[in-house]
Amino acid sequence: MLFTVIKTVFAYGSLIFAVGFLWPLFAQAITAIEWTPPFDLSPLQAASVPALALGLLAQVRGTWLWQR
Amino acid sequence: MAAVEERPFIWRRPAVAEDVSHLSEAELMKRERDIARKHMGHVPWASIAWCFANLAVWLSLWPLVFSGILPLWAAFPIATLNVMLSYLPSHEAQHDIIARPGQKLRWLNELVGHASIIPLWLPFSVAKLTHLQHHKHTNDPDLDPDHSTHAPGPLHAIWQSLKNRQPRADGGFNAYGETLQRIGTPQANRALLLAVVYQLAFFTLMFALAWTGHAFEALFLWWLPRHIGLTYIQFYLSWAPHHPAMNKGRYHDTRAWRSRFGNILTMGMQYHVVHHLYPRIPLTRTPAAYWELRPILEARGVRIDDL
Repeated sequence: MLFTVIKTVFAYGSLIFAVGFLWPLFAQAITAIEWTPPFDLSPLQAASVPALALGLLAQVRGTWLWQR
Repeated sequence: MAAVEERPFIWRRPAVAEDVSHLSEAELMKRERDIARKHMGHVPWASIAWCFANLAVWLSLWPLVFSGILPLWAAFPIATLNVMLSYLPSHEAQHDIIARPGQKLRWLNELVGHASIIPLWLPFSVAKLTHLQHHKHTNDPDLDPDHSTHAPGPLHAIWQSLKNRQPRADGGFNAYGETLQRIGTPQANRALLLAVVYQLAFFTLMFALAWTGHAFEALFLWWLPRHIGLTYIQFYLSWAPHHPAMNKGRYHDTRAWRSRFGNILTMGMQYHVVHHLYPRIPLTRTPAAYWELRPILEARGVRIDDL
């Protein structure tokens, strides 16, 4: 059971990293540079877009780099 | 042997190189071993102090930054330096240089091994087991866990180091996992399990910091310094001394080389060939050992690039 959980965590590592780290990081960056996101989005809501997009891309491609 | 022991340490290239062309194979080996023996068996106190000072500085950055005493922009380069400097004391411990099993200071050897690489967040057992495999199979594409750093030039080496850290990469720490599985001993299995625990703990800490409003601190005190440090360590400890990483064999798998950045900025790796020939010579003594061994190394056909 534990082994399955760990395998799953590592298999979806890029997405988990995007949600766990990049999302709050981008939200705090938006707040720090005092940028007002469009469509009345909060910094946290706005940060989810690039964070999840990058995470999904890395998850599918198997790399965070532009070149494999 | 007496002649070798009486000679003072040579820290720079001697004015006149010793002629060893008249020595037989057996005499060359004896001379080589006599020189090496002279440099072994010393407790590397400088490396021990380096380990604890470096760790103390890195740990102190956290409360200093969180309490607002030290700005994050100032802490970031210090943290990066700390990660860069964290590996080598542990490397001394990996080779039991501080103390071998059963010796009085064995506890210190193990403590340095574990403590030194905390900023790098690499379990000592993983580092040790995989590093010993690197020594055993240097430059073997299938068996050397560090062979993935092989690259045609310095910029390629940096890029390769980054590529090796990608989620589905074959090299880097992923190669370490494969190596531990291949070793397959209970000790290697425990190390593999510990590596998983370390990974999970690292990301749990990163996520906890980020979601509690400290993403920048996590980024600039640990995540980014760790990646920069790993790149630097892999460049100078793995790529540069083994480049072009094509040859195998005691006198052919590692080179002596001169860096334009000098010996300190390259962490003593210009003399890495001495370490591969005699892994129990402490880092700080490898330059002296090199200059004494140089004529013999030359006679052995070691690649010597401008050093």
